Amino acid sequence: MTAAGGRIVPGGTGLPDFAGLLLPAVPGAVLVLLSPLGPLPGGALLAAAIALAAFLALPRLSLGPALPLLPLVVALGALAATARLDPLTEGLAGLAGLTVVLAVGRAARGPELRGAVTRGLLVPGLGLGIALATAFIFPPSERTVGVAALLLLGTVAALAFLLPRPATAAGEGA
Amino acid sequence: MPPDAGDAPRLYWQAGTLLLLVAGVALLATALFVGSPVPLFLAFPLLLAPAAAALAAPTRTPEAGLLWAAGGSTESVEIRGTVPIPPGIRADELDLTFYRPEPLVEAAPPSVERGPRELKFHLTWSAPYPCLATVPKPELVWRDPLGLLERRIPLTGEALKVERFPPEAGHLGTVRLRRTTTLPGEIRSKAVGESGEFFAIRPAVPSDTPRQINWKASVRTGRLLANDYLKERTGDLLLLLDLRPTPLGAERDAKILSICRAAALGLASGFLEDKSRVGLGIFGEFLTAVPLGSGRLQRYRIFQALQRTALTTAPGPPERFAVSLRRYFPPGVTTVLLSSLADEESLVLLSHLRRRGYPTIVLSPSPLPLLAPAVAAGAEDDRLALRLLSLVRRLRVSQVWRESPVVDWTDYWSLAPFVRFLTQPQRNPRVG
Repeated sequence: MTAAGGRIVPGGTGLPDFAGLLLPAVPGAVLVLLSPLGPLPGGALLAAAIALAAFLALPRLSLGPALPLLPLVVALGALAATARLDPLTEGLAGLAGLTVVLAVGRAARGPELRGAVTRGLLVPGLGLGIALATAFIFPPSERTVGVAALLLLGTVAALAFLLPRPATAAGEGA
Repeated sequence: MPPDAGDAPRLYWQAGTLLLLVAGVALLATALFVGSPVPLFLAFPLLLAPAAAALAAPTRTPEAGLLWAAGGSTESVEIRGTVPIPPGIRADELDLTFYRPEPLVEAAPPSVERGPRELKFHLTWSAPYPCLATVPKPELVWRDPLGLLERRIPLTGEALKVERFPPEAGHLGTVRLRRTTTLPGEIRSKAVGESGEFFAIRPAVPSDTPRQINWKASVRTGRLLANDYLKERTGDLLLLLDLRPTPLGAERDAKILSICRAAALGLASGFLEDKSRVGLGIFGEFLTAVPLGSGRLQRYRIFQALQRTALTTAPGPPERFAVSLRRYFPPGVTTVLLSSLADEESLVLLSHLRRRGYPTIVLSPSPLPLLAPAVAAGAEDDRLALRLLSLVRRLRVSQVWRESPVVDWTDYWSLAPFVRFLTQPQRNPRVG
């Protein structure tokens, strides 16, 4: 595919990855069915998010591979926030998060390397599995939420430390 | 254009990372606000994915070599290359980005084959007209499996030079050029020297080079003997390029310039291979000259000078061109002017060249084939306009014939009319 200025990126048909956009909608649909609000409001929200994501993914808008997923993430967040507390919804929410990561990877790496994208889900999937196992052991409570939030905050802080760090020729880090 | 080669290879986070981090933190805040762990589980993979990408990044700056070459002929440009995969990196973590220079166009999508040890790529481009192009090195990038993080990997190698000119330009052995008038006092005799056609064997002298020594004869006779060669007959050729703007417009002038540059290099290569001397004069506002010379070094000088040419915005007067030529080139040398003859100034230039003693042949790429693709699918008025332009072109060529012979070059991929004219000169024929 030839981009502007004679830049050629091999692979890619130029069409958006609609299948990748629909992946997060699958666990989202199950969350809608299990939602205490009922299927209609949640279903309408999810359908609107899918339609908006498909529109934002059109090539002529040139918004990049990640931005079209934002409406889906917002809809899934709303469904997760209103979901009832049980291991099934927690697992579905985690699965939805994994599918969002998968969709980002599929959009970024192109059609030829979608097999390699699944390799990138190993660490997030492992972390999710540990978190789910923990949820079975400990009952949900505010203290647990606070501990988990602190752990996640620590992760974000570590990433913020990594973000502005340039690589150097000697003694490089990640 | 490719990124600056001087940039240090840094890690770059992609837009997807920002989406995941912002969404993750927003879900984290939502979980704390509503007091529910469900949004936390949604946020977990979003926040862990960038961390996993950072941990998977190579810890040292890898380097890779690039081996590539251009093939094909005339319009076809086929570029094949390989990039060995640096150790510790998987093939599916590497991405190649190519940069196609003008005026080459893509004829087929590029293909990249990922092997266990190397990446092989194949680019299929085509040249719409003769041109000289430099293909920049591709960009090699390491990306994590999710495409969240990337690092550019420096490629060691050179940019690729693509030269496309008519095939006849490389086979000009039958053409005999005029020799430049000898300098006063030069004795024209059976000149012998260090190279050329074998002439005789003589005793060696201390100034003879090892290549001149005939070792087999020396062993037979027991004393050092050297070869004498008849110096090659050579002719001289001067190529002139006119860079002044014309009423055709900047875009068509640029295409005509590309064609003229390719033709100049092709003709220079052909005559230099025949051991002639070739010089180059480029006229924009002032004259840029490559004096007469021979050999591969001269070809390199001419190529470098042609690469640097660009259309001028401040054209100089034609008489300045002709006067400046006398500083670098002797009068009487066979002169080929590459010009589109799109305006009356060319006629004035030719008269000045003739008066200064340069017998000029005009090789004129016709601008009409550049207009034809647009007209072919156009209205009847466009076809009528093209016919009128053809008549104007014929009139201008006939006017220029009063000053100098003209080869009207309409098929850019063939110089057969020009070679035919040089080998069989006729008195005022209409050629092309």
